Amino acid sequence: MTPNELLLWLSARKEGSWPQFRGAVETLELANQGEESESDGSLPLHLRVCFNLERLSHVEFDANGCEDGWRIVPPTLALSHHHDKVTGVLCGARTPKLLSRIVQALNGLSLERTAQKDSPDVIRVSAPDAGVLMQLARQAGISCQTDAPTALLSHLPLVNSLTGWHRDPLPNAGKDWDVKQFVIEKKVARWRPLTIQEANAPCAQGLFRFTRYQIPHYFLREGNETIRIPGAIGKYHVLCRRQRRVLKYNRKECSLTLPAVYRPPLLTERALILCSGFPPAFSVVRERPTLEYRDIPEEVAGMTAEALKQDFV
Amino acid sequence: METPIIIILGVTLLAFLTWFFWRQNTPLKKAELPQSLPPTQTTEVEPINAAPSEIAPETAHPVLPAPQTLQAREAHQAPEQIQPAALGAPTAAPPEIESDISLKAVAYMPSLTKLIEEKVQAADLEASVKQSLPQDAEINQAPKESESTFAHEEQAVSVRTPDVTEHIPVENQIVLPIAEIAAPIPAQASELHAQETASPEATIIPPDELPSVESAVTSTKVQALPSPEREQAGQETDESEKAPQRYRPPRHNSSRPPASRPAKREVARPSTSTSEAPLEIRVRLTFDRFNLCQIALLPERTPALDDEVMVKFNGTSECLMAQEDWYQDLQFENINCHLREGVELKGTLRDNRRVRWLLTGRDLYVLAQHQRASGFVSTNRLALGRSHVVLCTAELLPQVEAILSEAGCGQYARLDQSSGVPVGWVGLRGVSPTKAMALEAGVDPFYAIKPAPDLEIELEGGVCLRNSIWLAGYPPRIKLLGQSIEGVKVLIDGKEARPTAEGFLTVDGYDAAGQPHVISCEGLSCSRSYSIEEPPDSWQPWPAHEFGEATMCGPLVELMPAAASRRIFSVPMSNPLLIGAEPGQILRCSRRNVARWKGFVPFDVVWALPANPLHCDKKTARILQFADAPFVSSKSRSKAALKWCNAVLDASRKGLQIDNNSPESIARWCEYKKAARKIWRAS
Repeated sequence: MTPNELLLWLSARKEGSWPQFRGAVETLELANQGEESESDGSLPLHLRVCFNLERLSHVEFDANGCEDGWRIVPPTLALSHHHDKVTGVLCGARTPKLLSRIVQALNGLSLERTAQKDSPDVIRVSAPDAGVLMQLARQAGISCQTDAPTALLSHLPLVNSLTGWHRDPLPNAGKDWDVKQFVIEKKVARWRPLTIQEANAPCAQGLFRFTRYQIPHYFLREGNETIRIPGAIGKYHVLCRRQRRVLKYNRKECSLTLPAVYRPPLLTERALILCSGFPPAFSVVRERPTLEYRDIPEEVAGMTAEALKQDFV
Repeated sequence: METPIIIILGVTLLAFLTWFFWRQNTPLKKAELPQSLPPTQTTEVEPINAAPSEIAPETAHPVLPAPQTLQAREAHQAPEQIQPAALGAPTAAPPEIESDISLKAVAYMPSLTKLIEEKVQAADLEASVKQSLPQDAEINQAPKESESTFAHEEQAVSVRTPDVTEHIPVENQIVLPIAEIAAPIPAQASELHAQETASPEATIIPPDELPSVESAVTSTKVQALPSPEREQAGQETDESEKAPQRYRPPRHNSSRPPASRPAKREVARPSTSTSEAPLEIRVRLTFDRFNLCQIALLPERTPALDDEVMVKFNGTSECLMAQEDWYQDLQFENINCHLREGVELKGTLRDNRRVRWLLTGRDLYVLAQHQRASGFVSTNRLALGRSHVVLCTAELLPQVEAILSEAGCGQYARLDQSSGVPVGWVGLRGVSPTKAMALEAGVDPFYAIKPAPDLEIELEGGVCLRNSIWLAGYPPRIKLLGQSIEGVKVLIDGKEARPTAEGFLTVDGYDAAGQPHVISCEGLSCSRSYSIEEPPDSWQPWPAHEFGEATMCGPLVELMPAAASRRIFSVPMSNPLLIGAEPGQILRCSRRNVARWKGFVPFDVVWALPANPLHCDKKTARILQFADAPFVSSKSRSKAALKWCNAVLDASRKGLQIDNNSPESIARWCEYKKAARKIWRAS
């Protein structure tokens, strides 16, 4: 089985619980094609597939309306504007009938289908202007989002805005916690182990990761406040505080590069991926794992940097 | 029919009364106990009040509330034991026989007295053991009633007795599969089927029939009678952390010839409401892309269980995370020991129900592909025509290979530690038997690798949505497994199926959505059904993420009504000051290290000015026009309106040129300039 069949299964079921998703990954015998060198290579297959489905805008996991579970996104053509063309990336539910309807509505446009590891095929259509693709979406009976990366990035809160996150105290007891603090030393960022008492000390500030039973919980301590936030947002918040820059934009190649340890928050990454339809390429540059997002228009790169409170290196 | 029933009831009552009075008037002496046991017997006794996890399933009869019938007993059997009747197996007995114990007793009148004598002996033994056990064993807190099932020849009689059967000698506790109790099955296959499906944990084997490979079975149990092993075990084993018991193959009686039987299907276990019975732990083996195998343990999950369960194992806590039918697989470093000795996990659910999972240790595992898990999952026995992985200890390998050879398993690969197989174990991959094998009488230690001649309809592949429902366009592949399938005519929806080149069965329309499809073997009760379901054609967006003025669902961004007028706008970073047609419509773009700014602007942009019009280089800086919208008068004198005026007037004072420099643009700019000056003066 491939992730394409998994996406079919998810489309047919529409929504379900996390155990059901895990069961489907098991039952459909998804081929484990993970490369050891991949940034997610150390994760179990079901998590890799989950993250990819989420980043590629096919499925929402544990979001509003699907708490502790998943729900398939309605089929959508996400448009992204480039210099000379507009690209439409097919996201969300897929069925054989739906795909055949899209093919019938192509009207001379070429549909590009590319197989991916641990994620469904990337299906893209390109056209000289957005109107053609909007017409295609209408004929195929699917939704269309114009300038999807910009639309997403324009409405995301900045990483230094912590108003929307819950104030939760740090766990202060329990022997099973693995506690680490995110520290940046010169050019290296790492997770430094410490005790639960050290993390709870009044002077302890910064980003902390409490892991129990392989589930990480991230807490940001700033002044007297302890805020529970997603890990990626926490890291960029710390980078912002330390005025460290990690994003590198190549205008010629239209590619955005960043260290793999600083993978952007989910919705920011989703916007970057929607520019091309492809997940980031993983490579090791100067012995450092790096993610490269391709086909990123300069405006989108700028919006990303702004959302992450970054400036380009 | 009524007369024999009355006679039997009378005799039973008489015998019971006799036993009862004799029991009351016959005190036992501790010294008599050893003499009361045959020399070859060993006795295993579990403390009556032991937790379910501490009582070996072999000896722990379910404690049922009175009154009790065989149906009630069935409910406590492994589901496989109930299956033949449920599936319409070729059983001849009418259903009422299942519930009528007396009718069974009619055929065993001569045996009844003997049974009662055995019962009395058992009671005596139990009383002796109670006396011999230390006081802190708390035997007296045992449940007040329990059921024992005595077997004689091929039938079984269930007799209710007060509070003694927990300590019946193991030799006397022989539980035949319920299928045999329910109805005599003349066919050989029924015998084999019952053997195969009987829960191994429910079958007690006389020690003298135990095969050598199972000789270690009793070592983990608490022995009632003093023995060096018992003492040693007592020293080494903490009562709260007893090692789980080992697996025992089901007992086989060779008097019945094997014959064709209906397909065995897995029946979902009833959800654990009380969680008294242990749940299964399966062994799962997966191969990675380098063909290295990984062995893990797969705890079973039922709908009644929590998504996350904290369990204790070897003094450490583990969190079981749920999948649909299993919990996440557990991987252990010393899996080789756990495979031999078994694993027991104990946990407590959120509603304080206790739950435990059990893997009985064994030296030989058969693993096959499973409909609800990837890789290979442990199963009872080899099935003809199916590919398996056999895991056995290195000592057993010669015997296993000899038997596999007999079973027609020609080509299989041997896996050792270099392939990821645990130390002391050997894996055999691609074991695909072609011949059925008869079992040895009694307990066959190699039961698991001797395939039965059963016919089985297998549905594999496709995209299974749930249970027996497949997705349209992705139907299952239908295969018939078993011996002598040549002569069997398979019907799909009443039409004779034809084999494909790959060996699968098909008929026209077998993959059509709608009505359930039925596969059956002509003249046999072997059948199976499945359905094909069309996927839905509409999905609704929903606000999965909400941020201020927008909600998001996948790539879709829905603006709130207040922000619905906003549109995406792109402008060079050289002109980040955006001006609309109405005073107050002004926006300064955020600073970005890019050539163009892009984002949502809450008004229609008419002009874009340099960031600081008064201090820019007028040789290069320009005013950009984006729309030819006339000035819109407004009475608003807000701060934003003044900023709007200042921006326009500053650009004017600096004498900045309009980018396209057309007469229309110049005229429009003059209009805005006049309006701004008017507002500024008025303020």
